[in-house]
Amino acid sequence: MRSLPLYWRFISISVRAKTEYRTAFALTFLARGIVWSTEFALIWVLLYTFKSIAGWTAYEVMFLYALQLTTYSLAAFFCFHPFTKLSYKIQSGEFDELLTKPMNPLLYLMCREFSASYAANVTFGIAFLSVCIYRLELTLGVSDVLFLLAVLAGGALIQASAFMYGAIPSFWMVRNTSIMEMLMSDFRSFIRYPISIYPSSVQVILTLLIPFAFINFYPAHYFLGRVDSHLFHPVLAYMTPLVGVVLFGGALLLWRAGVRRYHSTGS
Amino acid sequence: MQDLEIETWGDGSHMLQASMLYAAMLRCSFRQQTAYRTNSLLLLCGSFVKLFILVSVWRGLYGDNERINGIAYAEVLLFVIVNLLASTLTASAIGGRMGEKVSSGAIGVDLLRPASLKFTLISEQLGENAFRLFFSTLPACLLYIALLGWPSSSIGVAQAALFAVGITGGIILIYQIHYLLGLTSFWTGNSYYIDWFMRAFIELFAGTFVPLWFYPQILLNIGQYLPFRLMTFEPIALLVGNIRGWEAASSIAQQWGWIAALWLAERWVWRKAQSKVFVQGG
Amino acid sequence: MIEAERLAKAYKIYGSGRGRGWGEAIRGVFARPYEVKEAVKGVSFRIRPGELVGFIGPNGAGKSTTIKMLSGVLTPTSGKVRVNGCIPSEDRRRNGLQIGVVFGQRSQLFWDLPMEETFLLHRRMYRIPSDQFRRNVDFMVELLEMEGFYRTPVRQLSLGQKMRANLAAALLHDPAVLYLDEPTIGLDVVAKAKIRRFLRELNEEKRTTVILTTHDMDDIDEVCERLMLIDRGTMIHDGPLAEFKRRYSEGPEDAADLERIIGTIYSRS
Repeated sequence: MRSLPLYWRFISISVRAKTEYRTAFALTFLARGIVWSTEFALIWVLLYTFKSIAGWTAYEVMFLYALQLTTYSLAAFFCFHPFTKLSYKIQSGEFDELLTKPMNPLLYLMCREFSASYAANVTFGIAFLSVCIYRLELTLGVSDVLFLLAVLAGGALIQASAFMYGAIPSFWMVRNTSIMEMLMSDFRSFIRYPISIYPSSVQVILTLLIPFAFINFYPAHYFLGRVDSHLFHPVLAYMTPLVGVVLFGGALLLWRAGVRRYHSTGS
Repeated sequence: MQDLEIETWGDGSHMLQASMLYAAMLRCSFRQQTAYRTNSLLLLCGSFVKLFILVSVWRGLYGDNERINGIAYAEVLLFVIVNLLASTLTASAIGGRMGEKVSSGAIGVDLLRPASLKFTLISEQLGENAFRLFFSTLPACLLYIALLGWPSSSIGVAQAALFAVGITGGIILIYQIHYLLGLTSFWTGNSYYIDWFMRAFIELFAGTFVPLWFYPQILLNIGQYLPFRLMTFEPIALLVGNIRGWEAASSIAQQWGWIAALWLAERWVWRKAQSKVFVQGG
Repeated sequence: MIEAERLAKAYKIYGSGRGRGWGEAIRGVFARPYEVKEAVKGVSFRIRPGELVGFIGPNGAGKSTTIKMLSGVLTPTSGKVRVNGCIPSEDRRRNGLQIGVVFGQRSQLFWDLPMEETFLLHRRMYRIPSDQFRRNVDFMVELLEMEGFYRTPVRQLSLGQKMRANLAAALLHDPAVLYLDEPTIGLDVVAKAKIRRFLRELNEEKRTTVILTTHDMDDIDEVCERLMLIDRGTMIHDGPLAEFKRRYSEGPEDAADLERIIGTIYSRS
């Protein structure tokens, strides 16, 4: 933790690199904002005529979307570039660089490839959350806000783990590693909607196997005061932070194994 | 992609040779995709998942209702599947490719070739898309139908014919729009955010995610002045029999009207772009 | 202070698993057939502080593998390596602080910003005291003649300039050892000369141990004092460059032609 100024410097470099092209940065920020806002608006349009889906109203579904967007973006700050580029780095030998620095390779990787551009996503995600909270007239006390932060953190950890589980197999697989990444991105689309619209088998998968439902669906029950719409015990609404920590812990172990593997086989 | 040599440009056979050239590019691009076999499988799974999710959503929305706003459940599903197939066929990386060419300077070379940049980019894109359509999206849809069934709906011959005409016009319109947007990268370079931002805007009015049958009136009113509803939504409405007779003819006429208008706009933008390249060196 | 004892590295090369019959295929799922390739078959040497060592050998001889084992990127299959008493692949932090690495053309600098940014980052990463940092930066910029492009974004630099910047970045923390893998590959003659001269002066000023692998005989000739010739995983020669030339040259006229000498050795073995 003495190294905090070091990590801060990594981040400030990434931010500075982006803002070198100030106009482009601002415009991309705006463009992303418009894209996300349109997606957000389209959910509203979808439910304009239908009023609700599986008992979830427009702003409730948008709340799910906002949770997804925000947690994804928080994770993407640190995980998008490092892990999508990981297989390339391993194959080209650029990964060597990480092993010769006096720093934990994972931290180095995450900080080195920090993407300041996700600031746009996070900003809009939080804005959307606020809009939903306002529209749904949710009153949040101090403990609720704290839990929301814990849910966002836990959700971000789940998303980060997804990035990592998607990329770490490249330490073992020589060729096509996009399998895991594609899997992750496909599964992420499931949680845009309340998972109660899917058959039980899918709901089970999204809870027990690839626990994405903990990113937004289950915690939403807490905030929206719902108790009815899923197969499992209500306690699941509280489990997001725990699930995040466990999954991320697993990802860290897998990473360690991957680095050990790299040490023994090189690129 | 290898450069194809055109030796004679005899007047009468100009068009024929040009089309053969672009057909060849399309074939080339198509065949290039066979290198990415695992990708096809992954895309197939992805398309399957997409379809699965969409059908689940619509089933959830319809619930027990037979018709909502006059549209049957089966018709909405038709909308979903046609859009899925159409979106594969009309996916476009043209903006990005153009942006790369411009910022790397390769655009200079392209302007010297005896082939239209527009049709080159479009043929390449179409080749890729066709491959994905035949080896990923279409199989995924068939697989879905085979495994999970599909509600039946009756389609008259007239409707099918109108649809064929409409969707062709729609696809041409889409490519025209993509290309026109792509041209903006002459000004924005590699960060093709105009292209990106427009897509979101287009999606809002095109009725590709939510059919326009269920849209609030205000958006429909605005959409009347825009070409986007003519891309896939109205052709599908033709298929389903939602738009008939005089309205059908009007819809198709509007498509071609917009195609013409956008083509004129493109020529103007192109002239500006070319002068930019030659004056500033790209 | 670099000790390598019977250092060896073997790789398992897995078969494609496409067996002839069903039995093969099923067995392949559980235990894929593999063969063992010995990239490095047991080399031993000691390198004293301040030496200028060159590794030479044909492609696939094991040079890069050896240098990766020394720098801690790979763990040896057997044998030991110690750099100033620490095991490189295990004690990553301590190892990182005492080495500098430049592998081929791969740049470790931040792409969109001037090199100074990377330098400042390294100052924090290696905890370099400010006066030492300032001194070293000035030293590097001067010696490598980088004033002209010090503030230019790295993206816009030529290959030679990038190489020099990378060297500077790797040396700011005064590492005891500098590892270089093909440092002059792809550079023009002028750039090569600059880098070789820099390495010699660096060694003179700071007594940095320099270990490099190369295909370029002039690199060896102009920089190294000690030559290690590796072929097919074994050390064929390890000793002072001068002695090597004397031993293998055919006469006074071709004492200087290192390339020819080495070529002869390859063809003999």
